Amino acid sequence: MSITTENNEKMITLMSSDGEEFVVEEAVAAQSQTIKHLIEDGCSTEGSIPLPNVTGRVLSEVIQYCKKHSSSDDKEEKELEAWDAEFVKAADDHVALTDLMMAANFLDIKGLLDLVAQTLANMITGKSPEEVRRMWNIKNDFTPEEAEKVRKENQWAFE
Amino acid sequence: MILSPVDTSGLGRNDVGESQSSYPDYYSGEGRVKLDCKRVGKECGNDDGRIGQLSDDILACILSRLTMKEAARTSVLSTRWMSLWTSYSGRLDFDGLSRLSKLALIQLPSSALPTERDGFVMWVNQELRSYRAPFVDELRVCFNLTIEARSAIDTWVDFAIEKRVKNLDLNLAGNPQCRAVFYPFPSKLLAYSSLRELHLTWVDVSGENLEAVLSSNPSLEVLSVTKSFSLTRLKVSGSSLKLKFLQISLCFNLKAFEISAPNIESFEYVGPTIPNPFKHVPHLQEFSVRGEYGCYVMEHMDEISSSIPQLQWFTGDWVPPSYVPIKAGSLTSLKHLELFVDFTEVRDDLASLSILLIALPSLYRLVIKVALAEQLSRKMRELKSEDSLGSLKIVEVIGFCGFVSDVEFLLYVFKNASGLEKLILNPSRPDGYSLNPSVKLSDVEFLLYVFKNASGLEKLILNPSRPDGYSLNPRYDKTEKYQNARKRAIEFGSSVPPGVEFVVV
Repeated sequence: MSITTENNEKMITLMSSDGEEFVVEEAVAAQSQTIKHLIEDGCSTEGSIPLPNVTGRVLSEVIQYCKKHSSSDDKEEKELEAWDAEFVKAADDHVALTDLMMAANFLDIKGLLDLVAQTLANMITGKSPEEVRRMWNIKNDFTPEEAEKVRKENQWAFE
Repeated sequence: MILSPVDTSGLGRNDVGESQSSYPDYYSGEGRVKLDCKRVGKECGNDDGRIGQLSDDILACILSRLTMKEAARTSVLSTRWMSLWTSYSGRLDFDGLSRLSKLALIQLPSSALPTERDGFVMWVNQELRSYRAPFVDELRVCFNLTIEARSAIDTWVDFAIEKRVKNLDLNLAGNPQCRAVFYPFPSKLLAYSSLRELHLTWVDVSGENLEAVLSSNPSLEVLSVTKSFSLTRLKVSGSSLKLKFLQISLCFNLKAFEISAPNIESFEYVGPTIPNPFKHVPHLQEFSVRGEYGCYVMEHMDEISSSIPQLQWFTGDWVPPSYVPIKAGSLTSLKHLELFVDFTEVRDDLASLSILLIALPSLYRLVIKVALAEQLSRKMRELKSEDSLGSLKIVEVIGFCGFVSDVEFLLYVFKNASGLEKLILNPSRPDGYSLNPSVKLSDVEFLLYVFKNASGLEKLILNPSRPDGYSLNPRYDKTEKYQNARKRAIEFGSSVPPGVEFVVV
């Protein structure tokens, strides 16, 4: 279903996996290459665009990001960077960041993908393997012999 | 999608059939670890937290934001992570030099170098063979390699082309002691056109090669060439060049160089004297020149400054020229001046330096890197009342000795820079200059003088480490000399007048 606002902005409706509907300007939604292609293929003319991989909670964050990034121009680059930093800080932990990462990947929003990937990468920097496992709940399923071998094979990285 | 963590591509380490027992531990690979097949894909990842739900592609995308080392370290996390990092597409950085320099500190016997070299080549070969990422941003190889390693280096260049690298850095760090034949420029690079940055060190590259690279890589922004003896003539020219940064260092056979590049912003040069190279460089903002050429630049400042009136940043050695033919106001945009000064070489006076300083009406920050100073007076030219260093706000002295010569120079600056806001004194040795054992601190007297005369002073930073570009001793900050300098700097705090912010680095 497409409607038009007073400003003549074309609006579209996005539907999350849990049935929540979001009405957003087309220009905002089109930052997602996935949605952009769906619109181009005529999927938005009737009803809303279903996004089966993204929950309403995550989708609202993504829309927040897209809104900010569609209304800013290059001049506000510094301000935008600060906003981005706050945005990922608000996502709080790696679980929320992981959800955002999956959504950014599915929706194909490059800027968001870069931002979240960098944030997750920063979490590992300077941490020992044991600390990373604990932080991200990764189970060490190596046998002691395998662990020794893998370690030896990549010994250069631990010097 | 969970890919099997076992490398089944056949490109693993097993196909390097040579014995590796003689190589240092960190290079040794006994073939990629094989796991019990039943476990793979069944258990892997199932117990992982939320991160574990991300696909291999997404995890590789995250790992690619790390350094190569950090990414490789994730291989020990779990069976799933073991080979994830081989899809790393960030900056492949094979730096064997830092290890070599560590070994050199414990006196590496010369016979060990070939072994180290073979080990390094094998390491790079093995890692590159196991990479699965379709594209890689950057490849950097840094080790002491000559034409003997040509076939290996050729395959690395092939890899770079195949993976569409944007930045290629070959630092083959030749050993100055051996009269080696250097790796020749790989001409296959000329058929490649996606480079954004190219760095070549100890690669035998000619001017024709570089000109061809520039014309076949229209998006090349950064080009640096160090120690090529085949570089004799170079003409960087083209109205569509994207080139922003150019560095030419220690190419001792260079005789003619000319640059006409509409987008160039920064040019760094160390090497033999060449006539004014600037033809058309409307956006050049930074010019750095080290070594004897600095003297030539000073003596031809008139001509050079008329080619680059927009220059904002100049770094150079103060090799005292016989005179500085600069008209007041010819470098009106210059805001930042950084000079390496050896006061012991400045025999008579610093008059020419004062002429330079007053010819820079926009000078905002002056950085003096003191190579050496001594207990002898140097005359500065007395300024007329209308000539002042009025726009100068920040003065930083790196390698501060506190001898008469460097102290007097600063006194001169202080006397004439009425708007000075910040003084940073750093007694550490600048890189590239050895320690002078006779250095004593008379900095204190100097500082007291400053307080008396620079009434607007707001901040004082004392940094006892040696400035960049001077120190031969990478561990200077571990020496007693450094510790003593730092202690004296802290003690000095009691003499700082109230109202001045005092920082010891």
